[in-house]
Amino acid sequence: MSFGPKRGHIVTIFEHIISDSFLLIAALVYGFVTRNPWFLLDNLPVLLVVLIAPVIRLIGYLCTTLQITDDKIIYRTGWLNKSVSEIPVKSVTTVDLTQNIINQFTGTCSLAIDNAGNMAEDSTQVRMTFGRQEAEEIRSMIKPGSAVADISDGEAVSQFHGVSDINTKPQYRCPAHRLFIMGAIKGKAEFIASFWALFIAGIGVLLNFINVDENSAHMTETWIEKVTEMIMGPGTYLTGYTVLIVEVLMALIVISVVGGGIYAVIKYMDFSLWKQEDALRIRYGFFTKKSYTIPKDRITGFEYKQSLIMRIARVGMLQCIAIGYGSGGNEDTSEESLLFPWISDNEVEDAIEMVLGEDTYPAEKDGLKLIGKEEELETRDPQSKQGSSVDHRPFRPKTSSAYYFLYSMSMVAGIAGLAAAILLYEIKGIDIRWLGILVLLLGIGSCFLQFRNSELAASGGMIQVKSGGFNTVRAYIRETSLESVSELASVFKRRKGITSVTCYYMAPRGTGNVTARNIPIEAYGETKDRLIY
Amino acid sequence: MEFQKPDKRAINWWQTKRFLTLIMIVAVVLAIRAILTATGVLDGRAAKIGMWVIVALYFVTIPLMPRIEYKQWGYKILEDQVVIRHGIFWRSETVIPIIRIQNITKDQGPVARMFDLFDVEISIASGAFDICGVTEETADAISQNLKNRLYARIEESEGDSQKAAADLKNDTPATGEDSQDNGEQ
Repeated sequence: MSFGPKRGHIVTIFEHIISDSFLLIAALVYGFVTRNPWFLLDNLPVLLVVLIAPVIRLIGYLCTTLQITDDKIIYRTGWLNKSVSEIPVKSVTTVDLTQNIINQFTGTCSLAIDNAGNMAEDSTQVRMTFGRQEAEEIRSMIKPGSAVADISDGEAVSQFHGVSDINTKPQYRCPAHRLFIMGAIKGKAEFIASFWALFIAGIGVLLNFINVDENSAHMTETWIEKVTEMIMGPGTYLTGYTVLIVEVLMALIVISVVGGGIYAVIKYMDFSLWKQEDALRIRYGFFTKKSYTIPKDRITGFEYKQSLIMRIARVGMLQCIAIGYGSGGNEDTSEESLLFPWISDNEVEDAIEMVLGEDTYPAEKDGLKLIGKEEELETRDPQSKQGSSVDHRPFRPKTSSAYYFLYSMSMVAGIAGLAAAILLYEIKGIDIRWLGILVLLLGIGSCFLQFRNSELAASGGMIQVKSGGFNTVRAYIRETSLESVSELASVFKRRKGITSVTCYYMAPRGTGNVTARNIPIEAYGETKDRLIY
Repeated sequence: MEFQKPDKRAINWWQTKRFLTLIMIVAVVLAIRAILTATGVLDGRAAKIGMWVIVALYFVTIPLMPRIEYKQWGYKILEDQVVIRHGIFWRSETVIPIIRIQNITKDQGPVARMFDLFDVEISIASGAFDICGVTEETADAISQNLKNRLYARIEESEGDSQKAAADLKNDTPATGEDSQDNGEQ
């Protein structure tokens, strides 16, 4: 059975028109808001650059073809720099479909084909847009790791066809209200930093919309002053800067919580996971619908992520660490590795077992025998806690080593924040020393939480490493995927039997590692024993 | 087995690298001082002196730190693993199973060329680790040694896998005869 050579759908030229024309649309809006119709003409040379994008996409469309033969995929692209890629079908690991809002209106799909060759890359090997029916047929023809299927064979279609997967009941589905809560209570540092940058950049435009009413401003200041008097005593005077910073912080928090929730619902709408024999199939999305597969043998581990509020609520998000997935924020070039957007603490290990669906402590993997492990299993004394190289209780930092966590970037940032606030007061007379103290307290709090959260353990064929301050990550790494181990400690720490252990494993972009800080040095020896030699 | 050391000339190499880094630090300090003075943020003599103290301290470390680092630096190549140890105040030890090695590269930068020294870069799927400051002969010997051990480990693993598969086949009885036997019983 063969396909092509064939160009993609004509929609390829227009499917990213919103992002391509963003600058033009923003300029039109700005000209309208500021009632300056000449703004666009004054900046026409810059904006003409925007119009180049559709021309580039047209040339790309005309010069790109896909051909599938019995044993390989031939992908031709490029005009000035022509490129021909031949991908053996047996090396293909994923064939995934994505539909943004324009694809949905036009009945087309963006098809992405990956193989192990882009293990260290962020971009997909083949990405083209076809009509939905055609895209489904192509996906049916290519089964990862096998020869090209003849789609005229009804059995092959039912085995591989995406439609039959979607019609079966998924193993996991996340309801919308949980998606909203997850988005609302996720870590906000990145969001607040991005929003603050946008706010500063756009404040000139915003003032055209916002007319500060004297009464409303007075009400806000009175409210803030009342709270301040309650905390710091009557007659406390607030500077204008304090009021402004408090108002902006409050607005940021409200926007990040509500906006985060709404964004999560839209992005992950109808999140569903199907477990197949050798792969996981995931589907989600409202404006941009995504449907992709993760082969189980590419999964090197899992990450369980929790913000501070998530930890209090004992819930989190579970992602897998898989080569070629989740390596960046660009959804156009790399699928996410999220498996469970909402999962409770005590369900994590069950979920991992459900996903892997195998003995998580295999004796053999790809011809690499775990030398000695089978014998150790037979002779292991279940009562023994010392010297057991199969399971051991978690290694955590001792109380006496807690102060080592103060030597961290969080503390440096806290001290720097306080120093900056004092300098501003001394040099410029701007009194925000309370903000400097708050930043220092946050730094100390982060160090304390890092002490509480640092942990390394091994059980069930997995190495578990926990780290983080306000936001924690617990990594579960399959022992068969553990590449190397290192330990790092100063001379003084080493004398006290304390070190930081880093585990290296295969991950997106080829390099992954996770560190448990300031734990007993015995953890290094135990983890070394689990390497496959 | 004792840890092997880099070549003695590595001390001079690292001292030269530190000196070149010092030149860059001085350039950056001068630029920052000029900007801060021009903007009026930094007027005080104390701040200017402070900056030069930092430069002076770094200058003092040039002859000293490489010697301390040389004492800590070591590597050993065992039958199934490579262990690399280095660091001055923060010492690090890394274990790399030979079976995980993807490729071995011999590097020589422009400064290393002055001292005729090489780095051997050992790449695994999750990163790369260096054995620094060795002569070309030693680098070639390390590279060949690692390749030989890697191929030996691969052959041993393949042999074990084939033996395990053969054992499994011999242990598993033919299903047709068993069914008949069970039925008769």
